[in-house]
Amino acid sequence: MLNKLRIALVLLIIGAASGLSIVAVNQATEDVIRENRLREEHELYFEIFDLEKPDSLDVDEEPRDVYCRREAKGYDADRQKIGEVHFFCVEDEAVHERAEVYDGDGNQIGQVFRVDDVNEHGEISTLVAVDMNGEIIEVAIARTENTPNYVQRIKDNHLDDFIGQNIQDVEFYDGRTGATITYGSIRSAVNLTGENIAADRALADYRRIFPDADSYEVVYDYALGCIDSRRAIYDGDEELLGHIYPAEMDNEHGTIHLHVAIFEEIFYGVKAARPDRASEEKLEALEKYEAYEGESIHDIDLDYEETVYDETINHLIEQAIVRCQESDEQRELRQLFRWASSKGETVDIDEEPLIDYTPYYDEDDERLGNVYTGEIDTDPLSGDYEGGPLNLSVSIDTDGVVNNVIINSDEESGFASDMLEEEISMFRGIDAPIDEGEIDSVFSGATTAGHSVNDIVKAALDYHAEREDE
Amino acid sequence: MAKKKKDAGKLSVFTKGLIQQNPIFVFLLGLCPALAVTSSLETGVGMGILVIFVLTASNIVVSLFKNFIPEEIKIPAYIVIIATFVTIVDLGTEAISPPLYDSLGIFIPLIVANCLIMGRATSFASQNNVGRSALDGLGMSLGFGLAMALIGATREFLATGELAYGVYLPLGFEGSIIGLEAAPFSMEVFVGPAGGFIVIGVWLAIFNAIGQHRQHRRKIARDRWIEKKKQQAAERKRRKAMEGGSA
Repeated sequence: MLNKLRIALVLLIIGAASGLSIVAVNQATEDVIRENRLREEHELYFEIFDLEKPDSLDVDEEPRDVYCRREAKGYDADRQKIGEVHFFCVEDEAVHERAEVYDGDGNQIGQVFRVDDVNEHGEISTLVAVDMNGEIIEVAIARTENTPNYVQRIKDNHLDDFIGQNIQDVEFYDGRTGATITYGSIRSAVNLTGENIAADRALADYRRIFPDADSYEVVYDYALGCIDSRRAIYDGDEELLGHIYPAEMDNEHGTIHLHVAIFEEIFYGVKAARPDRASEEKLEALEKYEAYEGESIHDIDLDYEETVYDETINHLIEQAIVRCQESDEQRELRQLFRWASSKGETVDIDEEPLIDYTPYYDEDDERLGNVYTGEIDTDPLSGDYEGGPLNLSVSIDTDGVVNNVIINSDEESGFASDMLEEEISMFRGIDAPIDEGEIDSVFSGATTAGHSVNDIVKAALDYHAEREDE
Repeated sequence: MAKKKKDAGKLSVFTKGLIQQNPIFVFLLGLCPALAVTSSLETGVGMGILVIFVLTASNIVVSLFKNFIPEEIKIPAYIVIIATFVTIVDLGTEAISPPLYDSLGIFIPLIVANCLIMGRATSFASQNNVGRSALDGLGMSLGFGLAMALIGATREFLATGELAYGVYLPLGFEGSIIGLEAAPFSMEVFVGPAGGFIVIGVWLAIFNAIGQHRQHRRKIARDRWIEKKKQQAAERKRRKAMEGGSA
């Protein structure tokens, strides 16, 4: 017993001495380490934007009204300002902060988003730098605990692929990188940056209709038609201000992007998305609708068509009104066929992987096409995906063209599931006879879930083509 | 005379680890960092410096407290002691030399698992006094550092044609010891793990060859000495016989 007590006492003393030593060294080095990290990070921002390496840095960490954290000014040896970086916190779980970078003359030259992620191999902090036009200047790994060899391989071979691409339309290279976990985190950082920039721009646009707009959320995402979604706009107290319907349509002048604001049958306005890029003619056409702001949607004159712009704007307002008036049931039907009004009896299919089909009809009871439901029990081979049933609905119109594909249920991990959602829209417009290459290219990655989606769509197209022929 | 002998003993405790019992090239200990962080001379030297601190300090502490640590908990106690010094080194490197810290990465915490350190703690420091343990730690870790520097220098030179300094270590100045303007070779394979295996293999072969050559020379010298002694004994015998005969 005495021996056991002695052992315990010795272990306690060793543990305590060890702990105290570590605490002391940690206290002594904490500030230096933090300073080193900050300096390293600031210098990286200057390097990214091709600014001279600062000889000295003044870091102001006093909290201010607008700056969430700090600002850093870089000077050369003669104390001439080379540039400055203003850091802002971003209210997003993954995006840690946003930094605005200015040159020596005080002109903003771009911004950098820092995205922190924890993947299976540890923490990874990615910097995504974009210029004022949204072009990616650099994607850099600021700090990571991931496997050094993989990180180095991605640094050497794949980060440069992002440079020059537009942040809203980035092409990724999963096939070439072997879709590693580290690359997945970088991909997600680039996506999140794109979403943040788009959200900032969108909010700036929404403030032209609702000046008190402080945040927004997507209430419904419309898969089909020229109205993208219904967005609820909130003020600083999270009070609902109204709904905005982002809309787009092609005409002879190109693609027209608009924001239509309607709430409780009151028209709040229609404005150009990115007005800095809109033509004068378009802005003039939009001005006419200012007269209807605050009026009932039924009082808007949608027959007035003097220019092509009038025609397009009227059509988009009309579509927004349809969307704002539709019931939940109609919205569900219209996810698969834009003009669906009702659906017929569901018929079972005894042909794997298809389960059944349901004919859909428009307002005049004309058949629009069939919606096929299919399911594949995917095996647990793809990464951290544990396998399980993947259930889809595929709508194919009477001409044999895929209208939409919707995932009803899947067991994929968050990352893979997002990928499926993103890329599934590529099926729209594919028709029979099936071009195997065209379908297989939608999900070219090695995930079993991706292949299963391809297989269900192929089976539905085959079955539909056979039946329609009969 | 006794003091001189004692000093010579101390010196051999220190010097044996440098070449004769070199941890990497003779005992094949600490091969994991020797492969992983020796892509350049500076990273090799950097890891060597860290191991010098950890091994010397842990040998001293183990030797100081060897009589207080019960046999049953020797290993866990040593691990805690070593881990403490490794954590101190980890924090210190991050504060003093961030580029070296980034470059060595996970291999700094992994010094805990370096069998050289645990090996010296159990086989030497726990059986010797503080002075001898400190000298053993210093000598062994210097030997380790020299081997790391040798491997790093070889790999860096073969891969880049130069030996840079001041990149990872906080020297305050940068440059290169050898810098070939147009390197006649640039064998990138030597930066990767395969290059590490090749270089370590070649150096092991060289050390083995030198060792065998020295052993062979020692054997020849010993054989000669024995032969000489035999001849001397035979001469003495012959003389004795002659003296006996004449008497």
